[in-house]
Amino acid sequence: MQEHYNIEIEDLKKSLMRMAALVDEQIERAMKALRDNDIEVIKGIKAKDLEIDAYDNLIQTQCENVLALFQPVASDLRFILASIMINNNLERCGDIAVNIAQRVKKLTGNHQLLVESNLVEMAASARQMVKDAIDSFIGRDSQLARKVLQSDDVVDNLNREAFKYALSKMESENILIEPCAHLIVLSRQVERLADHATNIAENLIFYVEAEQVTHKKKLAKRESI
Amino acid sequence: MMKNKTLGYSVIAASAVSVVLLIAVLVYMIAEIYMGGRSYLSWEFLTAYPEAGMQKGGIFPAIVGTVFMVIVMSIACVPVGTITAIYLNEYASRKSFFTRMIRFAVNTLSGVPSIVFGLFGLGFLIQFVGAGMDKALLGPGEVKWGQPNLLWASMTMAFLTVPVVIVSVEEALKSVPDELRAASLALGATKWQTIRKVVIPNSISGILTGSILAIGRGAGEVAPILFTGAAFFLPHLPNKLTDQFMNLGYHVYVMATQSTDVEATKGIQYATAFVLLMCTFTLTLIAILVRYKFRKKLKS
Amino acid sequence: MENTIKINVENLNLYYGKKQALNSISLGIQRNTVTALIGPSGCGKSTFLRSLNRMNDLIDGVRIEGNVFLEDRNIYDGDTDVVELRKRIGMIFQKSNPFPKSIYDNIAYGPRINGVKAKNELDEIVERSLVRSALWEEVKDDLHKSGLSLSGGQQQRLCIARALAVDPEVLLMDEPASALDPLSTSKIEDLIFELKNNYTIVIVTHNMQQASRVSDITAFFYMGDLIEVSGTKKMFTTPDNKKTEEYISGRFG
Repeated sequence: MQEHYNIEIEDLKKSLMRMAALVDEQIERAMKALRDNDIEVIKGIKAKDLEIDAYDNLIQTQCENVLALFQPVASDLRFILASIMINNNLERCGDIAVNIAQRVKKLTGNHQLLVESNLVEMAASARQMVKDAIDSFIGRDSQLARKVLQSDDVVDNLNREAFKYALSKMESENILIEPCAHLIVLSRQVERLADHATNIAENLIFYVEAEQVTHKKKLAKRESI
Repeated sequence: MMKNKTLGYSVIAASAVSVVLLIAVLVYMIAEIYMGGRSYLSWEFLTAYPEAGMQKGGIFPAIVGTVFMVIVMSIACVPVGTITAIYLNEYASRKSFFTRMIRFAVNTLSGVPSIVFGLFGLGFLIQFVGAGMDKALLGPGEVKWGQPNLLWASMTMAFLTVPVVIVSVEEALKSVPDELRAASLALGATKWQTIRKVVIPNSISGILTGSILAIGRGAGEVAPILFTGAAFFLPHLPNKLTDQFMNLGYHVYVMATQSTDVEATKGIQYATAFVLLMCTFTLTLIAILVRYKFRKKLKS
Repeated sequence: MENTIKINVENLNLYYGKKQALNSISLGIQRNTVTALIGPSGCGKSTFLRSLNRMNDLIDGVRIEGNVFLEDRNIYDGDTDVVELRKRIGMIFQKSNPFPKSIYDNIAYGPRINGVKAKNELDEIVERSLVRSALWEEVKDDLHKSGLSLSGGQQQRLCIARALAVDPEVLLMDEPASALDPLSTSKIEDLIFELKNNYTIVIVTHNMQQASRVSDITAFFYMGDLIEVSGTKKMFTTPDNKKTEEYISGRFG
């Protein structure tokens, strides 16, 4: 089993890493747009997303093949399961990056809102989370993955703050209702980015430690009620 | 490359030549014997007594004597040989000293010249056992067992053929695969049940063939019975173990070396030899048929 | 609490002459389960299996230390009736070995040895055994044809029926499907799955997927040691021992 199996796994890893790199680039573009109000960078972002979608399909197929041909068990199996999940999450991150970039376009005249609401800071955190999550997967580093899980609370808080800020701004100046609406949506999207980073980290922990940490917090809360 | 082919062909050629030679010799031998005795072969020959110093008449008593001797010999050697073979193959520990001793004895016995068996029969069976029996059972001076007779001759012959039976029965037992024994034992059968119900039924053809061939060997040997019970001429047929008997092989020997007119009896010698040959052939044929019949049964 | 262990092995050591083949194995076989013994060639799993019905006694020079309890009795006690033991613990071999007799006589062999003579009783046992081994429908029309005329998979089921005919409590199977095609293998596996309701089954297999498909408990042997034993689901998703994980992932063996 070994030779053939190792080659297939290496190909799968290469695909995942390539896809992660593409996703990272897309997020960087979205950050640039957000941070520097740079709309030039938005050109071609949609086209790049098609590349990411192609990788999504490829990785899906590669995982399916390994399962069918090699019937992996134990940690080999967890690697494939984690890869499938992480593939999904990465693809969603790519989509979100495109959505963020497009929504920034709608806020061109109101860039100061983005700064005041700490959205730029939030986005930077989310971006770091995604980067760390990908790194933890490549390096099989469950400590780094756990760090990502902790950062999620920070981003959640910033999201709530941004929402409150937007509400107050909408109450005070009618003309800002539309931009603030976009702001809220944007904030939500950044928060989703952080969620996907968390999912990637959870899947890594599942792969490396064989521990299911997904939904743990929620279920624990439920049980304690 | 060419060398291998030539070598292959020459081996085949050599084998073919050997086979042809062998068959030719056999055919010639049978033909010569037949031709030599042809004029004497008839139903009367087989059923009449010898007359006029073996120069005329038949060989009926020799046939009867041979048959009786073979029967007593078989009773002695087949059961003993079969049981020994079963013990050696099924029960004996392969490595024990005792087992190796038995095997050594069997192998050695099968190499002993047949005349030595004859001497043994004379010295041990007749002069020791027989004489001892006379001393213990009969009055002084009376001799009943301490002389050549059917019993001692048959037993001497049995000593000769027992190793043959042991070896061929063992071969037959070995041919039963161990998996069948394992299957039987795993079902909760004892070793003896396994032997009785699985091993023996599956090797019976080999056991029978081996026994028949051993018997055939015994029927034709002469040296062991030379001084243990065979006689040149007896006016009556043997009907008890203490009787002496006539024998086909012995008959030929005596006629060829000790009769008053060797030339005159030559035809009868050939005829007797032919009868003996036919007996051996018949036994071999029976063995082949037995094996064939059992093989068919097993296949169905 | 009811005792669920059918066979309890305690510190079993086995020597072939001077060579030690099993190192202090301790293992409990649960009743009405399928326990799979896996491990690379020469690891001792077949030797261990044969120790459970004392078939190793047939090999010259084998020495055993330790205890094997069938329920409450040690089968290696001096007063154990080995013949009776083998009626309670039956065995199926890697290469099917039906007797060169008819199907009927193959199955009736065991009962006949136990003294069953009445034809109607034998008929019933034969039919019941063939039904239980999923072979009845295929052979019921001609029970008197030779067992050897069946296909490989059918022969193996015949051997299973033969073993069932003496009404054992435990079935030991030494790679029962290794010589069979995939369809026959699948039938045997289905059969094992069903049989465990009424029997306790221990199966040696070198086929990982078979172990994972068919067993409740898996024991991993390596070089005469019992490395790990756990529920099959756990063994194949999160084994405790690194060697176990390497073996089941096909890294060696």
